[in-house]
Amino acid sequence: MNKKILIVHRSEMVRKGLSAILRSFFTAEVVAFATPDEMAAFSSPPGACLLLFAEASALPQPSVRQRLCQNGSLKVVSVLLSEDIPAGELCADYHISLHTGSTEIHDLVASVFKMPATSGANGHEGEELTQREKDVLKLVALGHTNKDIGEKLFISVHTVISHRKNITEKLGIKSISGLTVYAILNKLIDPDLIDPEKLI
Amino acid sequence: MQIFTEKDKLITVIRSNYHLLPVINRFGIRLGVKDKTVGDICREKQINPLFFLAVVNTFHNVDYFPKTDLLTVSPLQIVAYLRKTHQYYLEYEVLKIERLLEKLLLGCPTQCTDLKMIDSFYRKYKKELFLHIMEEEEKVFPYIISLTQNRKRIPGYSISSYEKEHSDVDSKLNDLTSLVIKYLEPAYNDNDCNEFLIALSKFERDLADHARIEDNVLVPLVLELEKELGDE
Repeated sequence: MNKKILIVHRSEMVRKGLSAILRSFFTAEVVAFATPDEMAAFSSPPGACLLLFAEASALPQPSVRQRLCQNGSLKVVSVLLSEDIPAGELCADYHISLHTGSTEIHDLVASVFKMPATSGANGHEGEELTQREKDVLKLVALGHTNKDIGEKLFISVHTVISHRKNITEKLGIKSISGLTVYAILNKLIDPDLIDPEKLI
Repeated sequence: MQIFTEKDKLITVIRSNYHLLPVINRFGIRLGVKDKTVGDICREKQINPLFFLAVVNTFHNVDYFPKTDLLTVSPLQIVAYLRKTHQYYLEYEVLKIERLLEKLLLGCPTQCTDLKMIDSFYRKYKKELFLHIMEEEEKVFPYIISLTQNRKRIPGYSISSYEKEHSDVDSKLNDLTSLVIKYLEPAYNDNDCNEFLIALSKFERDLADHARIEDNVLVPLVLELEKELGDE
């Protein structure tokens, strides 16, 4: 699913700072605007999953919410000046303040997007693969399907998929041919056994 | 964030970011710019300055998002620019990277299994990129041109089916760069490898920008047009 993060805030420091924090954790596109008017030109691709950070005066009206939504989803985070949530109705789903730490911001976004971080402090990039993950990776690199791999290793397809997700997260490599090259370079499989023309 | 305007001299734009040179070339602008401003050159070359600035600023600042007035740019102009970009990739950038990779392979004294794998990977990537570009050139762009010129919906086709294609091509290139940086065996020539890697990263950046122009400028415009023209 297409994920995008929007920021509407008059302060350039807040826009830049928040984008920098978000970018260090997530690969989703971050687009920043100074005012809601500027955001009027933005149209989301249908079905996108949007997360909007906005200062109190820029929280979107229901009509704007609807326009941004476009069959996808939209969650709004109100960026407050202090930690006290003002009394009265605020049309936001979440609140953060200028004092909120980057870890909390990370957790908030990760839970909204229902995804693990792809990199950064809380991600798994750089962690070593477990033996089981190496077994799965070998078979992926040799071109086997998830079903094949499950049968060979006596595990369910669901487990295979979950291993593959962890492998991609740890290595930061998404494509199958990339994983095959990784497996060869790291001597998990013997290049003489495969036909690079076919597998990479 | 440095945002260029019509009043900026072209020499300022170029000196701020040399990577903008091929971008500017795609508009038919070549060196010998004297002290002309962006506005001057655009009038001279009959380029819509809004579009020129949107492209240049989007390329220069990852955070930049063009404002409402861009909706006045014709999709035909955007398609023409994107086609020039494709041409640049196919006729120059992809071949250059291939040449650099070849040089790197030739300079390797041992068997170089790792570089051969990188080479296979690049070839496969190149094939996929060509297919992706062909799809745009032969299906997507003609659709947009016909929509703009005939102002009539074509049954069974909508621009929204188009966006998901990008991510795959992008992530492959990203994988390639990471693999080279992280796992290359020591038996390679430093300078050859650096040149290759720098060319690769530059291409990655250019492609990402190309995708941003498509996703942030072209697609919203066409969506708007489709809405205006009503259901298929």
